[in-house]
Amino acid sequence: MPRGDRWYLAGLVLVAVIAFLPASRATQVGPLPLFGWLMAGLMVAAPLVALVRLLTDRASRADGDARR
Amino acid sequence: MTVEHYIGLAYLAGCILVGLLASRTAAGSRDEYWVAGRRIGTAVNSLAIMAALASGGSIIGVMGLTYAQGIPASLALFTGAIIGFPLASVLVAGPLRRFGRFTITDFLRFRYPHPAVALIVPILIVVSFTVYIVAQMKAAGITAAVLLGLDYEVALTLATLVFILYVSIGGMIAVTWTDVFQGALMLLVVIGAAAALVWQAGSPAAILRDATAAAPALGTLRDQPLGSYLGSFVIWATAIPIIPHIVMRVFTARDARGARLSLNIAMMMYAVMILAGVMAIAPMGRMMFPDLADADLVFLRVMETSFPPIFRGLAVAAVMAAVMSTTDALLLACSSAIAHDLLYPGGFAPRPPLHARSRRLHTTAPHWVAVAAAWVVGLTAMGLAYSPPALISQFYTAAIGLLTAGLFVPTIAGLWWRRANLAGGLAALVAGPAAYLVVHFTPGAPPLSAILVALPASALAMWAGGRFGSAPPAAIIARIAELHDVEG
Repeated sequence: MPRGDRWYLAGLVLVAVIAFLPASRATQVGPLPLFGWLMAGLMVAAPLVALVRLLTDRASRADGDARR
Repeated sequence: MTVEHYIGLAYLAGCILVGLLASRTAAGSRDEYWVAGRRIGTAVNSLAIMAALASGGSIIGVMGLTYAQGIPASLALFTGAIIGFPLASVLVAGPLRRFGRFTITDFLRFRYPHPAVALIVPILIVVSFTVYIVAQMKAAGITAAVLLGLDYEVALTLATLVFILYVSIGGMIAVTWTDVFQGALMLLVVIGAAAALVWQAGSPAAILRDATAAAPALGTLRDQPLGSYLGSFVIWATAIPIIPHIVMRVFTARDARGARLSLNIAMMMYAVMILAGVMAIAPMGRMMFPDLADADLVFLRVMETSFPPIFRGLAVAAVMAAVMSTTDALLLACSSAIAHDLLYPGGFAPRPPLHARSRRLHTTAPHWVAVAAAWVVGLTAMGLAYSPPALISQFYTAAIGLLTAGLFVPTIAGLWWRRANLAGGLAALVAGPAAYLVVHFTPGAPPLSAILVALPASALAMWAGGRFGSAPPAAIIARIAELHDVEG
């Protein structure tokens, strides 16, 4: 697995773990707990980062070209 | 007949027309029927994947869950699904697309060659997907009942017959083109409705502030134990990489990069739609209708009271689209599990009869078995949907949990762990669902938490098999290495 993919997956797991910590669930930020904001942020950031990585990754472009 | 009725009927007629048009091509070969000839481009596949995942649960269910259990509970469940897409993109999309078959069963049967695998996997798929389909049918039925004034049973029967018809005759080609239209319609209606409500209120922050002031439970995490939140998150995060109707869409892509791009673009669209429902429409509905007996009705009530008839007609079509776009994909996956995985795993037999008439019957039999399988599964689910479950999102999430408990570990280990062998694969395939069912039906266990025991049990079984069983054949290891070789 490419190193970038490993870091990406590790980042997702880290944010998810932080979101489910008791402190995140207990801390209220405006109308929602921090847990809710982290989940909403993950919802937007996860696909965005994945898409940027994929579009700028030369190896995956070569893969697409080779298979056409 | 009102404007809403005309729009609803035109929509159903359009779906049947697409099925009829696609049927000529779909009947030609297994590649055409199951994976649309593997020539679906990225833009079309993205919308189709989004539509396949965005079910009635993603419009009716997500807002019902938000209404009943608060915004954080909904976000936990649906963020799990969105996290599942990058997992699928990184862990399975490339290698599975390079594997180049039709279904997830094809891969597992190759990786763990044993008759029990070829039997257990399709059975798990059919059981869990039938429950999933029942939940979708409830969404279709209550939508037509509330917004069109039809009887629940009449609406259910009508919608079911239409989508069984176009799936069974048009295969993946019909599913793809109806999904593209349905996906676009869903995005238009949900995001459009949310934008209109935000414009009325002034800002999204104003809606959230006012709604949580009027109903503080909307912004809190108090209702359920942590195991339920974590369980729903984990179920969907681990389901997306192995769930058959999404995996089949990976096989339709032109190449591995197209498959990965499609998954990520689909995920972006899905995230925006879910956030629009959870952060704007459901909170507004909670303020407008504080005492709904059935929480799943909140979206429909908002549409009924806040928008003109033509927009209500589009809302009916959008919910029908959400239901059908998922149900058609589920139905095709069930049909493939029966016809392709169980009955005709090798496709056409190598030695057809000599007589011309018998030969034709022999070669077209798999196609007609697929058509019949779609009808049997669809009608069975319709029968069950006449007594609908409460809170559809939780209902079908529990069924998907069973599937994930069985397939996630064998699939991921099969692709990424060289020591994954037949003993481990078979043990993981059995241990996961068994642990899931035991915990799920244990009195007092938090809802949806069974996956937190089932996945480790499945992983432990896989590890034990790999550690103490014999190594997998060299030919299988070599083929798996090829699947990871981007330049190969």
